[in-house]
Amino acid sequence: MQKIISLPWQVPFGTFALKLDPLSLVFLFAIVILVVCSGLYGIGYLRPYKGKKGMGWHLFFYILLAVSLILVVTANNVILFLGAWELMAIANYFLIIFNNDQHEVRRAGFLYLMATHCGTFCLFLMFFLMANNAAGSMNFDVIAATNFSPIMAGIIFVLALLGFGVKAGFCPMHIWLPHAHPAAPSHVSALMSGLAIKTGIYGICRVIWIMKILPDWCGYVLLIIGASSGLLGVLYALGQHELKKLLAYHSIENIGIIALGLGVGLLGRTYNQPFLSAVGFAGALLHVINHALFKGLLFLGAGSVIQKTHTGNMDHLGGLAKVMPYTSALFLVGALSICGLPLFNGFISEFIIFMGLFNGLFNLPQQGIFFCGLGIVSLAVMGALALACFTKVYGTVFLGEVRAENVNIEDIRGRKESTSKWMIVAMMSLAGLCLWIGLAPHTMVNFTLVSGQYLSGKSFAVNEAEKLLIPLATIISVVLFLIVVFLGLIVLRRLVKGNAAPLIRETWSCGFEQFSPRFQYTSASFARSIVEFAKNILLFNRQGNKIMGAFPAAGNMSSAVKDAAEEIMVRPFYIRLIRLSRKIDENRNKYTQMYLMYIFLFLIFLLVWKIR
Amino acid sequence: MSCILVVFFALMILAAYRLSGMIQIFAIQSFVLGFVPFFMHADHLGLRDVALAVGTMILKGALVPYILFWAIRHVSMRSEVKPLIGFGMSVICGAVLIAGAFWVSSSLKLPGKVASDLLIPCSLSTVLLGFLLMVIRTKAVTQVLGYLVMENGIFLFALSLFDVMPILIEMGILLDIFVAVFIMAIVVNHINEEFEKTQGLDKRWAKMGESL
Repeated sequence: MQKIISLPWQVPFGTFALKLDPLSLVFLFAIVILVVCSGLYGIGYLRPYKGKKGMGWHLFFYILLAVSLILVVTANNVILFLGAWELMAIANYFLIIFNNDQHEVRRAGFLYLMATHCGTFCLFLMFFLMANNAAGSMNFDVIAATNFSPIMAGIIFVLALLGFGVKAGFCPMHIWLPHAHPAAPSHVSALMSGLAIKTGIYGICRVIWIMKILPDWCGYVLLIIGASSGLLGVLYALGQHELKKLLAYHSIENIGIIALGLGVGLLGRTYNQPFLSAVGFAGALLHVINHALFKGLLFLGAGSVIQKTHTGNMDHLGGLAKVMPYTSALFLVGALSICGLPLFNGFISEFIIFMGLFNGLFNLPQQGIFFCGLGIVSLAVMGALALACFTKVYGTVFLGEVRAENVNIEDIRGRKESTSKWMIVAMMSLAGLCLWIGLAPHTMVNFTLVSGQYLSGKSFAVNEAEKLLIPLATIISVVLFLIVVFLGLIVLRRLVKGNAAPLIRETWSCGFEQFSPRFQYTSASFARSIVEFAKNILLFNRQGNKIMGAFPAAGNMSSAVKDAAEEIMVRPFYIRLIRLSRKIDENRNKYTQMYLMYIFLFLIFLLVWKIR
Repeated sequence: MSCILVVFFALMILAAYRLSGMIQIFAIQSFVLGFVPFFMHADHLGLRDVALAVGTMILKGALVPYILFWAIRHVSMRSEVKPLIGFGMSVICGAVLIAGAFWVSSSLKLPGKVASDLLIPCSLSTVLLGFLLMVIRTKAVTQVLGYLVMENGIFLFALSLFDVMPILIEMGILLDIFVAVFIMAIVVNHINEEFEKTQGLDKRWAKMGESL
């Protein structure tokens, strides 16, 4: 099941070779759906900017991004791949800095550009090592047909983890992600989170496919990366107050889940367990599609909220379900999906990864059992924390009352920016797909199982797929049955008690004289218990005076979570780098001639070296 | 013979005290260079050889020196050459480089047969001497002259591979155009002494430190 197109191309070592195999098909599926939906959404979302910003450029880079994404996942040649990869990075950069009059946005764009180029450096090394091994051929098929020594395979795998991991947002390398995603316009954030970071995952899958035999530690490394990215991602997400930044950290969490699946698949392949391997890979690939769908939906929903209220700070929002019924309902679908609850698509892929991990407990050697156990625990904790996190998001943004001072819900209702039909249609189609995969997983599970077998290189008996589908069908039917029972009970209550309107009374307010929306839980206070539990990892910082005595003075409190990877690893490194550069600059020669002399001496050195 | 002369003149430029003297020597060097194609293909002189020779003589022997003279008059430079190292020392450096060039070219492998054994070492020495001129003299015009001497060396090299690699000649013409632009820039910007010393980047570093 492959199609290869090959066209002549003038670039040295390059052929314009495209290949469609089951692996690229999965990513292509996600790309096509999300590009179309985000594009539709963009029509409505960008309407307020009409005439103020150059829409033509934005559209140009949007299409460029779409084309380069498609090229990245179908390229069958190293040079073409790297070209498309860079094109994608640049198009993405220009999409991020759409609001380039803001300092923060420019800074985020620059950070993104730096991070992606650091990653590309590793990719260059990796691909040239590969090509060197394959007698200079730059074709993926040819490289895949050669044998790698275990040390070489290990080096290439580590380079792939570094290079593609920056793009994917694996945990210590994720620092660009929480800055760049909130800076971009929402439909671009959806694309970045749903697709651009998935190209990193695609790269790792492609390397796994090329390297038919990898050392056994590679799988364990992937499992550890998955567990740490997932847990830290969701914990940081809990500590955020900004809606889109929170979603960005959830992308890191989901990348962790995908890495868990890939790790299981890789272990299965190393220890020659075809079913285990295919299930692991299939779970990861299905989660790629699912994450693209629900994270796209969530970012688009967040975009509607921000467009209407002009703020993404959750501590200022509230009660939007009354104003934006469609958006809130669709956001709820996305939130339920990302939490991995049954009937929605996130559940399906997480369930398959769980199945893989449990399967690993029985079929892997001792250390494999340990790591699979670790994976099971961390995946379960991730699910619970994600549920807490989205309870917080939905509760503070859509329920209750508006939390900002001097704004009430009628003000927001009266604003002329409204969620246009295009935006609703885009979100609805994504939500529909989430529900489709969640309710009828048969098609997509089989689709990704084919890709999983393609990645693992071995196929398993046909009837074994039933091991996945039958429990899934059972769970779905049980949950549906419970829902039917629940609805039946509601109907029964209506029949017995009649259709009387509920009584409306004031909430019991603990004896306070004046009632204010600020009494409500904020996003910070909701997550406080969990965040304080993990405050050593999260660099949780709380400032403010305690309220004491019978007649306390005015008080205030603020809390923030800082990214440990950014504060402990990257920033000190960057400061040292700047200091070093300054030192070099001070001792620098100020004559142009000196530089000419360096060139001259080097030239002579080269001549002598080459001819000697 | 004329190859040796080209190298000799390049050395003379290194030792010249005055700008105008340098330009005159360069003009003579280019003129001598124009004769090389005649000697090379003495038995079967083609139209291309003649055109090349005449073109070189007119362009480099007359036009470029004339423009350079015009340039130094136009921006009224002082005529001393500002050396970074002394004249005697620079000639010795040049001699060492020539010896090096002969040694290197003895072990070069070439794609085709060369008309004269001296051609490759001479061209290499001329290139190196031109580069040396750029390194050890500070004035803008001397930079241009060093560049032109280098280019004469490249021209010699191209001549040796005239039949095998035609594209080298075209590259030489491109270099000529670049030199023309270079000279124009000197005139337009009134660079009458040296290029500015490159500025310290302190301010830029400070800015970068703020931004992140």
